[in-house]
Amino acid sequence: MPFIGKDWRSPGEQWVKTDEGSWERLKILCFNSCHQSGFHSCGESSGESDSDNESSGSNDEARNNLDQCLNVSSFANTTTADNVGERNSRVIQWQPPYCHITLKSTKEVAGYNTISEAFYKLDFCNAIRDIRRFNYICKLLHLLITQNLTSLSGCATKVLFTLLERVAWQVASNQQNIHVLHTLLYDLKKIMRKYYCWGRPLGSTTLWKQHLRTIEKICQMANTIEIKEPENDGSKKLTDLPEELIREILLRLSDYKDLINSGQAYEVMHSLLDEQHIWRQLCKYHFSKLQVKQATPAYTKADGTVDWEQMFHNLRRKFGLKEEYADCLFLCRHCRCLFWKSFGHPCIINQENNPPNVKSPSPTNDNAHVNRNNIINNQGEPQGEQGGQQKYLDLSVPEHVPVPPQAFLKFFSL
Amino acid sequence: MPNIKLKSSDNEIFEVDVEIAKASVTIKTMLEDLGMDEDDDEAVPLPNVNSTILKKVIQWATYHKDDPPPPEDDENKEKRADDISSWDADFLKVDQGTLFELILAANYLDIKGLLDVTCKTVANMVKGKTPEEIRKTFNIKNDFTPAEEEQVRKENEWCEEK
Repeated sequence: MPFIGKDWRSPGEQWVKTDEGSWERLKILCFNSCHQSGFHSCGESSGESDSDNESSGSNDEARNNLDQCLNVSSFANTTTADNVGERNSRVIQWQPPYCHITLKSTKEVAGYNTISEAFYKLDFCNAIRDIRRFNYICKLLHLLITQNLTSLSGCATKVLFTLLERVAWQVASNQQNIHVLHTLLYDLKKIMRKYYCWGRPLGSTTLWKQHLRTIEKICQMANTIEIKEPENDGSKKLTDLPEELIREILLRLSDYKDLINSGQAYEVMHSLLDEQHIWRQLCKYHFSKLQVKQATPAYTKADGTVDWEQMFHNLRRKFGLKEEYADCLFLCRHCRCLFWKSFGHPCIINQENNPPNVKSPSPTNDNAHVNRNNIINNQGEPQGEQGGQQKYLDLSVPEHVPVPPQAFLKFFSL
Repeated sequence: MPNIKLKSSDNEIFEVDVEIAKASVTIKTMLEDLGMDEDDDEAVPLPNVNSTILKKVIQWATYHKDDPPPPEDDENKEKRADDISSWDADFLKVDQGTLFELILAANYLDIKGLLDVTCKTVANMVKGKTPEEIRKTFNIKNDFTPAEEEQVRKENEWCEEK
C-alpha cells in the first residue's frame, strides 16, 4: 500500500498482525512490551482490522525486531508469580510513561502526532485505575466525544471505546464517579444520533458495528451498577462519627451538587450546611479573593452575618467554577515530551528542574525513580554545558508547563 | 533510634520509633508535657484505639515518616478529594467500619495527614450520588419526614435554575 502521510520522507509504519487478528503498529508493540499491560491484553478486538495499511517492505532487520518484540510481549503476558526473579528483572525496566510530540512543523516533518499513539505511550489504560488521573482522562474523553467523535481516525475511535469500556469497568468496581460514566454515555448517545447518516454514524460499517456492540456492553454495565450497602455488623458507621468529623468530610467536597445531595440525605449534614462555614470555604476555593471581597457587602445581613450559600450560587453563575485535576499532563519544553506530573519523565536536563515528585507509591515506582536518575547520569552532561543550555532557555516561562485537556487535543489538531 | 511503647485499648503493646510516634500530635505533646524519659519502660496508654486500628495507624505513619511537611500556601489541597497517592489508596481499601475507625483514631491522635486522606476517601464515596444513593452507601436511616424532605428539596430548587 502506498504510504499516505504528512511526512513524505518517512518510510512509513511497520504494521504487525496481533494474536487477535487485528493490526497494530510495530512501534507501539515494542513500546508496550516494556509496560506491564497494554491495550492488547484488555481491549476487545475482533478479527476486523481497523485499517488495511500494511507495510509491504518489511526487511530482515525489522523482522528480527518484530520477533524480539513479540517474544517480550508474550513473556510479559505470561509471567506468573513463581517467576519472581524474571519478574524483578522486568520491573527494573519500568519507565514513567511519556510521549514525545512535534510542536512545530518543518518542511521535512509536518505536524505528526497521532492521538492513539499518545494514548498508548502515556499509559491511559492503566491511568484510569489511578484515582488522581481518572478525572483528567474522563474530561479528555468527554471532549473527544462531544467535539471530535466524527473527525477521529478509525484507530483513534477504537482506542476511545476501549478507554470508555475501561472507565465503565473502574466505575463498576469501586462504585465511585457513577455520574461521570452516565454523563459520558448520555453525551455519546446524543452525539451519535446527531451524526447518523444512512442509519449509522459515518465511517466504516464493520467498525461501527463493533463500536455499537461495545457501547451496548458499556451501557449494560452502567445500568447494572448497584450500590452495595455495608453490612450491619455493629462496626462503626458514618452516623457514628461526631459532627466535627462529618464537617471535615463535607469540607473536602468541591462540587456544590454533592453538598446539596448530602444535605438531603442526612440530617446532620443538612444542619452543618446551614452553618455557612462550608459554603464560605467553597467560595474561597472557587473564586478569587477580589471576587469574594467585592461580593461580600451585598450578602451581609443586618446582623453582620454573611449568606455564603447565596453568594456562592450567584458568583457561580457569574464567573463559572474552577476546574482542577489531582494529576495532570505536563509538557517539558526542553525535550518536548508529554508526561504525568506525578511520574516525571526521563529528561536530559538536570533533575532539579523536575517537578517535585510525590513519594513513590510502590516498589515499581521506586525503580522508576532510580531509572530516571540513571538515564540522567548516563547522558553524562557536563555541568558547564548544562549551564550554557540554561542561558538559552527563557527563564520567565517554567520548564514544565501544565497541559489542560483542551490543550492536549490541540497537539493533535483536534 | 529510641523506641516508645504504645498500649492499645485491648492492652496490646506496640514498640515504635519515637519519631514515627510523633506523627501524632497527641503523643508528641504528651511526651513533651509529661517529660517522659525516653528510656522509660512505661507504655503510653491509648484507651481510644484498639490494636487492629493502632497497627494500621503505625503502618501509615511508618510509610510517611520522611514526608516533607505540606506546603503552607496550598490551601486548595483540601478540596482536591481525588488527590490521594496510590499507596494511600491501596492502604485505604478497607471496609467502611475500619475506615471510620481510622478517622476517629486520626482525630484522637491528631494526625493531620491521615485524617485528610481518610476524609477524602469518604468524600469520594459521596461524589456524584443522589441523596438516596448516599443513604444506601452509608446505611443512613432516612430521618426526614416526607414534609421535611419536600421542604429541603424546595429550598434547594432555586439554585438549580441556571
